Amino acid sequence: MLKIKDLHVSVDGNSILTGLNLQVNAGEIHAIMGPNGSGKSTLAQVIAGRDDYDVDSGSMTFEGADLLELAPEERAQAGIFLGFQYPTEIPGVNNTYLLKAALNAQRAARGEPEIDAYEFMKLIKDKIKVMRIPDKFLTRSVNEGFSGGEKKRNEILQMLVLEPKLAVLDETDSGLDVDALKVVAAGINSLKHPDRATILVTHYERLLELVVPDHVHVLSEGTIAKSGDRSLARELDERGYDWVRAEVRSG
Amino acid sequence: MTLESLQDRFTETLDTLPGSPSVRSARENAMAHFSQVGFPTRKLENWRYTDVGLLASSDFDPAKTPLETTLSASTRAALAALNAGDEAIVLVDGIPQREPGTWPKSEGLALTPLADLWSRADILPQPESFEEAPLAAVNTAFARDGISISVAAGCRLAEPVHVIMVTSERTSNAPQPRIVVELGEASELSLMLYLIGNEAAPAWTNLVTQVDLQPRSKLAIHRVQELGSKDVHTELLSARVRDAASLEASYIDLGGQLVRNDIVVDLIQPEAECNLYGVFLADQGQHVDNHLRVDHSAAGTVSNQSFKGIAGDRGRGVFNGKVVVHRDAQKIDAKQSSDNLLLSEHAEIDTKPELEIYADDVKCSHGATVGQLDERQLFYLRARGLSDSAARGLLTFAFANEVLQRLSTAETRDRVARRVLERLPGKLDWDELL
Ligand SMILES: Nc1ncnc2c1ncn2[C@@H]1O[C@H](COP(=O)(O)OP(=O)(O)O)[C@@H](O)[C@H]1O
Ligand SMILES: [Mg+2]
Repeated sequence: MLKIKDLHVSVDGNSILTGLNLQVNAGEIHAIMGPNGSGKSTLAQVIAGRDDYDVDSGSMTFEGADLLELAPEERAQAGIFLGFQYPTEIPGVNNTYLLKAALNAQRAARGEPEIDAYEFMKLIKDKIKVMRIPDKFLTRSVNEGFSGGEKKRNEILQMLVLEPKLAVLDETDSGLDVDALKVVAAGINSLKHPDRATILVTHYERLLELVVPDHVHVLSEGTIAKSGDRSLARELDERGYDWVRAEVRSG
Repeated sequence: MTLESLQDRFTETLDTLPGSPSVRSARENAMAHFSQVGFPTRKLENWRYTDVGLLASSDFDPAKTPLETTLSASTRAALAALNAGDEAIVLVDGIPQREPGTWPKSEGLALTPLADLWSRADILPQPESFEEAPLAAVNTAFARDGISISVAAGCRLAEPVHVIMVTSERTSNAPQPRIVVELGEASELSLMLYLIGNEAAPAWTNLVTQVDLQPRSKLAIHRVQELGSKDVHTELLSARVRDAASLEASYIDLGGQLVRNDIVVDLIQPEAECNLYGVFLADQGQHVDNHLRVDHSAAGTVSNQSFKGIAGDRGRGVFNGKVVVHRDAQKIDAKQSSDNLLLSEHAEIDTKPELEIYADDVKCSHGATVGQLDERQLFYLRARGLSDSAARGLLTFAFANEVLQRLSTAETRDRVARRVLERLPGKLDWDELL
């Protein structure tokens, strides 16, 4: 589904990713872990098409299409969803309007008609229940004045409405209390499907107890330094990242 | 029209202008004043960014006698589209259309054509602050008519009064209308004011609105300017606000080629308050200048200026807001903000909030921004699948909408929102946005 080969990314001339390889197949859940500043958000944003980052070399394809050729909205319409580490506040733009505009943009790209107003409200009511988001959030401006946890739940709400093929969730678990973490995990798990895949970017192992990954990768110094199964996540939780770095340095 | 021909036209028409001898002498004084200062030039600090040289070089004629005009089909359609109701007061080229019985009737509300008032009694135009707005002197000299709106003490009008100003399609049209609003003690009024032009014949409308608010009264003026693309509009709103009275004004400028709004508010008694809002949209060939002055002349007075500008193509905008806190006007609160969006690299907006303080116990804040749309917000929306143009249109509309949503009637708010959306990228549908 997603194939990243030898990806080099820099910002203002500073290299951040230096030859990253990653393959994600349909039906899989991948976790990407790594110390602060190792480039996890950079990877997530580059997948979604943020143009602040320069892709210097390498390739990135999604279902065979060259992602680097696509604008952010075309990637979204193709089924890629980025859950932001820091969701942007957009004063004056209604949360429900955004959900509907986003859904209709994707339906239009697939050649489907706009969703019927009644169907849409039914869908939203369903999904906010799953995410335990009070009704009043629907009429508020996107993320404005939301607490950290509310922003993250709102990201997952958007994901549930859009049903992406590939969700890249950037530290959706950070800043959540135990109950909110369970709600977010249930939301992610509800989308599990053989045709869909998820990349979880996280610091902590605790989300991975609730959303079980098939593969765990450590991002360190611009590349995937180590990959393994879920037991690697536990090991990282106990031992930290320094030993991975040491292993990489000693070859 | 040059200053010289303006003087000639004044002499020729003075006898035909309505008013008692004292009104006549006020006109003569105003013309004498204007003869000295002439059309403002960019050498004046207050006119640095706005060149009205066009007025002196064009054939606009403020003395032109009004005709029985029939409005063109397109103007009538524009009027109807306002949906302002059958009771709206329509002024064509500054002259109220008298259709007895159609003006709103309400206990405590008096609506009178100014020409009648000027002839009957010694009701002088208020001594304008010609220093701030020299073109108001031209209005005082040439004004033929307009409307007086007064509300008796204690009357709170539930329904807004709608005033529509349209220009006919005659050539060198330069209406000089005047509106006088007087609110008695503890009364309340909401005034919707629409300015409509046409594309066939450019006009220069030079409007003066005088406002006098008695203690504890409340006035809201919502003014929507949708003039033609070649029209010139200059305006002075001059308000005196007394004891604990409050003035709210929102200025929405969508049309016109050259627009200069002067808003001059004097908070002359304790606890008087004013809240002034505005938003303009200036595209190719448009220039909009909002020039504000608020005087805190008494203690405990409160003012707020919050103006927004959006300029695309080669549009130009100016904000100049001044707050003057006079000696002994203690415990006052003054806020100013001017936020501006440039949608193209050729657009330009100049903003200058100013404070002059002669008292010591005051709370003042001001801020000014000129910038582009927020890249992070744009990316967030695009990452959800919205096209670049839809994302830009949506963010620009959200910016303007903070002011638009103050419009007190839903019909006007919806119509103006649609007009704004039509001009923004993405052509978003207002019914979806609601
Ligand atoms: N827009 C940017 N401009 C400059 N440096 C950046 C930018 N974004 C990220 N970086 C730098 O790139 C590195 C990786 O950042 P990031 O991808 O956010 O890491 P992580 O998400 O793993 O904590 C950091 O050193 C960070 O300072
Ligand atoms: Mg990060």
